[in-house]
Amino acid sequence: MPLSKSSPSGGLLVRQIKAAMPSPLKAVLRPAVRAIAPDVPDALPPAPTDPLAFCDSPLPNAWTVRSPKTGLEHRFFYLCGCWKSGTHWVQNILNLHPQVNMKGEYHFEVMLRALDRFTNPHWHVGHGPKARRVASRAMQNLVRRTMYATTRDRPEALWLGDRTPRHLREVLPGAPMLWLLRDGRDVLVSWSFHWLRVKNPRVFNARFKDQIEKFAPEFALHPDRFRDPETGLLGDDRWVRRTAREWAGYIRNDTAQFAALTGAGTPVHRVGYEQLHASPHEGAAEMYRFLGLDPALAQPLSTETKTLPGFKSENLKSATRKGETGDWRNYFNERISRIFKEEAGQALVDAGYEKDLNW
Amino acid sequence: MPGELRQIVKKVVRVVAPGMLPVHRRMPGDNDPEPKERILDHTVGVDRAEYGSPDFDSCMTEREFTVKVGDRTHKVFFLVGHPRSGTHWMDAVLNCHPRAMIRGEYRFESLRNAFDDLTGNKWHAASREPMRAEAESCFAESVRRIVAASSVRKPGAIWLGDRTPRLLRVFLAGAPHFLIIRDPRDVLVSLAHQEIRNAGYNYRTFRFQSELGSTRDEFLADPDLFKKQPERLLASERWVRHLVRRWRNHMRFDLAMLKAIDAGEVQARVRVVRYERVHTDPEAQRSAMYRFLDLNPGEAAPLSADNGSKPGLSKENPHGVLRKGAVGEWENYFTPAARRWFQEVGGRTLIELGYAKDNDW
Repeated sequence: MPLSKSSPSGGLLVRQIKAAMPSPLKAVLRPAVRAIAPDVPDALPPAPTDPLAFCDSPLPNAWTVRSPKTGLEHRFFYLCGCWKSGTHWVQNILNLHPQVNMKGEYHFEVMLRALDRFTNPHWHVGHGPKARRVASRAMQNLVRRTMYATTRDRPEALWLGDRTPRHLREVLPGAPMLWLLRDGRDVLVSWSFHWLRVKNPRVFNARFKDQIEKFAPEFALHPDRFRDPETGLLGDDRWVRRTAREWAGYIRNDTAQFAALTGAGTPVHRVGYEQLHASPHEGAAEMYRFLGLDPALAQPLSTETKTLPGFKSENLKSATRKGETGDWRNYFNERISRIFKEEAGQALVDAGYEKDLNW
Repeated sequence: MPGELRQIVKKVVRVVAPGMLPVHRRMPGDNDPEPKERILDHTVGVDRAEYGSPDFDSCMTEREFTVKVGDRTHKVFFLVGHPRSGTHWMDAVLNCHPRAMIRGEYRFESLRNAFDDLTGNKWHAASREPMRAEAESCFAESVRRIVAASSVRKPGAIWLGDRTPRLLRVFLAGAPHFLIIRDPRDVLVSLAHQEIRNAGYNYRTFRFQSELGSTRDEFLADPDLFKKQPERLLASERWVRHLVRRWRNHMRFDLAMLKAIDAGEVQARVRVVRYERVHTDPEAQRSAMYRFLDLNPGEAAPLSADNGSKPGLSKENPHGVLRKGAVGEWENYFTPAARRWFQEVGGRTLIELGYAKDNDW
């Protein structure tokens, strides 16, 4: 009978041995001890009556579950990238495939950051290896269950996706990711219009609340006046600088993450907004194939499904305003260009949008 | 302004005029004046010690705070309170019982805050049903599983506890909570020692380096600095007002939560433990705590200085996490000015807690 830590006598003996042993020796012996003295089991999974209990036992990896009811395997994937980079558009394209169901923004990154805080200071119980492992698994269960809960409207979908504008970061270990990039100058223009039409400016940054509240009523009545780059948020140097800096942060972080993730074997497919714009059918097919799906099964791109590039007409007050590439040229003046170069000029070069700062 | 220049300017401003920089991490109501109204119509922990009801559905079913590990069933409880109110000590007292095991700090509030963000914004997918309900259930399951991971340390324990100095927020419906309350003036003395020693959260986040940096250097060099010059511990008006305001807002939140729990708006049971009462009569108080968990006080090990469960420490350690554990020590450190600052910011809450009859102390 193996020595079990869960038996009272075994537990006492193991604790006494552990207490008497120096830490480096413990670290060396730990793998061998675990093999012969299995750890006490984690808390039992929920009762079998729980319809989503299977989400807690993913197989063969952390991003695949099998529904006992239908026998279907469902896989999870993620679409990441800076805001206003076309995540809505790509979601619409992916949802044209009958085996994909992508349902909006989950923002699991807030849970990942909280998990970091929960497990990292050494005085937190969550810092210990077992608590860290259990906390991490519990978080993965939350992710799988929450995402699986979206499938009721398309139960045949094999790929369940999260489209959150956020930094490239793994949510479920090894889960495939689509990384969306767009020219930061177009992002800046689009972002500047976006905040004039939203109802609740507090959600972004209190620093610009006053400006947004000042411009929003006028924008609602006369949006065309804001085509002038000296009006509205584009007229605010601090706004331009901050937005450019944040976009550059995305490029720096995500480029490094891309290398790290692909190096570790996580499939990441880079999708350039501009390339998708130029060759939407090829781009869509590549994305389907990345997920192992047959592009022929997907519905064609269409204006009705908002999956063809751009929009029939520009609507300054819509979340999907124009969908253009290179529209920044209509807004950038010397001032905006100078600030953008200072904050994100190098990132623009690194991302392949310019060869140097002479633009 | 280019990024590098901005960083340099920020550093200069931080030293020259720390108040000019925005402070983002504020508790709700941080800058509001102290409300005049009492929250409870009695003195908490003195006139009454227990809040909520075992007849609440969540308390009766125990489902939300019960977890199975192997063939064992455990129940989860929480010990909370303002930092430096004696949570470590109560941890040791509760751990004297063979059927209770408590560890800290888990700090589930960081997960809960993130969870509220995940489900609370209307454009987040998890803000809608059925995702929201599923996420809510997963959060509770996460708390249970994480606490249950410690059960191997004391397999005989029925109760597994989390000791975190934090606000009284209920993360598992129906779960028993201990709320420890201590004279805030003693809290302030203890907290000031710790914050200055460690350059702690308040010291760093609210930028007290310029005011307290040299005092800190001296304290690090000489642990007896404040014993020799007690007036220096609470010499900074901004420091005292800040710490009192944090304590006051924390305590008012807890009192309001007790009221909500008592009304059944939040389902839980709470036993309020007054630090000074445990100091005076530890056996009676700890027996009541064990009974609150339906445990037999007769099974508990005696209190002992070795495991830190006896009141007070035999020797003061000004740099230690467990410094002194004394009652009424604040009188040595509060100058007339510090008393006035305290009374102006938190005097009414002090009176509501029964630590003073009026502001004439």
